[in-house]
Amino acid sequence: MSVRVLVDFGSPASYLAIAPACELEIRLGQAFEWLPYKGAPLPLARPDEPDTDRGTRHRRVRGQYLLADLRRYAEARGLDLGDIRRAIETEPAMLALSWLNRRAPDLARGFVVRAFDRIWREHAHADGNFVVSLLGAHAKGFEEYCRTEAPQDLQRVRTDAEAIGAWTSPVFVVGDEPFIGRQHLPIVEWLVTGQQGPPPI
Amino acid sequence: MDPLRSDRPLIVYVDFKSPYAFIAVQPTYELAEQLRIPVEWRPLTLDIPSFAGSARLDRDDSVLESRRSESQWAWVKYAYRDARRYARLRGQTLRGTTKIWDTTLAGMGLEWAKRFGDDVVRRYIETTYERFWKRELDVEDVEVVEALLRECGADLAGFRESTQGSAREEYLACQLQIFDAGIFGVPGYVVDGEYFWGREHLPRIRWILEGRQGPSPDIAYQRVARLPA
Repeated sequence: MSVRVLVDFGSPASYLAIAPACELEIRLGQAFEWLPYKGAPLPLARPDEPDTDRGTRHRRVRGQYLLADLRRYAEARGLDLGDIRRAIETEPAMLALSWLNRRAPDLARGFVVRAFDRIWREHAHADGNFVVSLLGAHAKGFEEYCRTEAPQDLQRVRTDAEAIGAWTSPVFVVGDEPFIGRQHLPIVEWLVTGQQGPPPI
Repeated sequence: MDPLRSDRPLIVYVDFKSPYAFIAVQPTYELAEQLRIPVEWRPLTLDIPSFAGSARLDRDDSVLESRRSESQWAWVKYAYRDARRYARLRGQTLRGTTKIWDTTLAGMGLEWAKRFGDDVVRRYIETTYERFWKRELDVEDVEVVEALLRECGADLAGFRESTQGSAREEYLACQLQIFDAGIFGVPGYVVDGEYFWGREHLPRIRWILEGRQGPSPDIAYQRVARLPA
């Protein structure tokens, strides 16, 4: 059963899913397909938004909670996410991942790990120079790809994801079933390994 | 009532119209049984239209009326699909609701059930959820809620009065107090004064309740020891 992992380099929730997803991929001995997907951002807190009504207040309270939730699980792994709401340039990494899926899919996971770490652990930019350096020998043809087929490839991932009900990342797609969030990894494993034993619930 | 404190080690906020709260009930009871701890169940009546819009469906699930954005629909559709697939794994029936129910009365019923002990509370929670999600329970009808409480072993003397007038106002004020404390979603768990939204936090909640031994676990829906026969 195939597993596709849709990740957004600007999403801290995607970042926190990378390590456990890689562990699962290795444990299963089955290559996942890693895809760049720019879904809706988490509805994080906007501290300057006045509480004009219950809905606004709810969004603010929920946003504050989500920020704190990301931080507490990051801290449990010794990670400091920095300013979670900061603007992050994700396009170069998305393009490079898309390119690797065509050119050298075996390298996709390593690229994902390195690019996410660059942004979320080192708090640095994964800009064009950085992703080209990661592509190494596979950089040849990348620029041409960015100008020609990349937009369609990225759009295809997005269209396919939304067609099956995904809307934010990370998404684990098992067969055609989307699971949003790393909390689903136990059921992904259960499904891929033939539904042995009691299911995670 | 302090929304973040109880004389019990674990507070669980639920709303009967939440499919995620429904499928969290059994894993939560399993955790409590394994750790041999009492749980304080509290109602949190969600104001869903304020954050997810509203819609009304017919019995065949066709949309009759919608005040939802595209992104709200995407979230709601995924949430139901997600909750339904996990419910199915447990052998539970989860049919989408045809409207956004006012579960205030059912929440008051939960508070009332607590007067008669944990067994009554458990029967009330499990029976209400099971029937509501089979579309067999009108939780806005006081006579229906009364019948349910009676069936679960509660004495009804004084219940009707507790749903009206100043008692109702007090309940609603308490709901605002819960929201003011930052508790906005269900299932909501409070342990050691810390709030967690969603059953995926049960591994960490267990870790806290067991004294924070070893590394803190990540979020995950976990395998459980047993499934219903």
